[in-house]
Amino acid sequence: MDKAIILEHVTKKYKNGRGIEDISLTVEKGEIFGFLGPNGAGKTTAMKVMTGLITPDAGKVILGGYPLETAFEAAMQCVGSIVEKVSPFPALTAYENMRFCARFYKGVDDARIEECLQMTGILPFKNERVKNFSLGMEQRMGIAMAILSNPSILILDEPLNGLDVEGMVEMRHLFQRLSETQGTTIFISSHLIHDVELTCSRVGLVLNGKILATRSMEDVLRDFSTLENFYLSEVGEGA
Amino acid sequence: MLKAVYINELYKLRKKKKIAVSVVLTVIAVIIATAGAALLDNFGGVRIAGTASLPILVCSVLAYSLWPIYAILVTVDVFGGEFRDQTMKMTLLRPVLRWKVYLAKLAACITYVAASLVLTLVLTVVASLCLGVEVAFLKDLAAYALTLIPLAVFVTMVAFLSLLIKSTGGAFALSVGLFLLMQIFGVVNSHMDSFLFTSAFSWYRLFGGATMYGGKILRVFGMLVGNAALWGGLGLYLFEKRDL
Repeated sequence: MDKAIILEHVTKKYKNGRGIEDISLTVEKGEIFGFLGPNGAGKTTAMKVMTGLITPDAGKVILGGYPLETAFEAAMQCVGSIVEKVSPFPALTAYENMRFCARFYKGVDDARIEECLQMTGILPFKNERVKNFSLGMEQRMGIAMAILSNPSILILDEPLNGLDVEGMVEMRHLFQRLSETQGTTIFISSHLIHDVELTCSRVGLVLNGKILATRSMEDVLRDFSTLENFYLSEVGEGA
Repeated sequence: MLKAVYINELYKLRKKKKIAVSVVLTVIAVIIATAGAALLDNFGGVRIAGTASLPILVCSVLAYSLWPIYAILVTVDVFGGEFRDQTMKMTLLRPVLRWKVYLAKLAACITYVAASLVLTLVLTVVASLCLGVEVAFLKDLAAYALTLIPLAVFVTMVAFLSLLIKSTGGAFALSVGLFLLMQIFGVVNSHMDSFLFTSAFSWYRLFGGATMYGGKILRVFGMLVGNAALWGGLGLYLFEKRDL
């Protein structure tokens, strides 16, 4: 299988000593990869490095076959993302925020914008200013922005944050549909172990900035019966 | 991609309250200047609008007052403000290199300042015509166009300060403070005045007179280019390195 995401010995350390250290992993094309770890483990840092928001101290990131350092624009053309939290422009409407993103991609027209807003359930609110949105609505818009360009890779940091139960189910089905029908590679970090168990085909655990383990979901469920058991056995109940 | 960022920046600026406020302030400034000129002309026997046209008169005042404030407000908002509230992520997560984002943002800020100049020119020309004063439009247009250049350099300096200081309030205060300091320093020490690019805010006076000071024009132009390269380069370095 082709490798959609490659991280090679990526290190980023902050002044307080936290960050990520020597992270190496690959995600195959079409996989839904779950990135798990306790608070402060380095999940968001890894995603920020993967999307160019921060520069790593060492290591290499390759997205869709393009090295991020030397072919940033080509690499990011393949990527849609939510990192840390959705931060749209509050003074603009949902539609205007989507239009803002659309300008960077060829072939993304008003019909596609409306389609994405429809898929994430916020089409009725497209002309409302984002400052009036709830957290859940903002999150849905973030997902709409991430899928707007039909990316081959989605990098999603806690994408189900703030969503109601219905929303979580809808978005989970959306991610699965994108993976199955379009071969989209999805890299998700989440605390919602149950959703990760239902959605992901492979998981990686990170603790104190280092990768502890990566396994297929099939193996995890066979050996540990639940993802939670696997997580606790690796990370420990005190983490 | 540079064009996409530029259009996005202009679109965002258009939506901000600052634009409406700056339009209102510009109109008020022109009204005050026009009323003042008319009063002095009709009651004081002083023909202000005759010796120096109203557009030039207003330009000479706003170049050292409102326009630098506009430049500071919009530039601090576009650079520091977006890092502070994390909306910079919206652009940086797109397939566009940082240096293109930086250039496009600078261009948008300069466009905003240019729009203020154009609005002022149009309003003052209309006011002059209402006062029954002859208008040398091309001369006035050239003066405004020349004034834009040092203002554009000022924008690059403010962009650097916004990236240097994480607090938008701090960047605003420092920008205003430095501007005032340069003005005061230039007045107190006239020898240093020629080294400060803020002295070039009225460099349009070097053009179009009976004598063209070619050498001085070249020196001022070189100083402006040098400052633009300095502040622009430093600002780009900080922008490229900044982590979100």
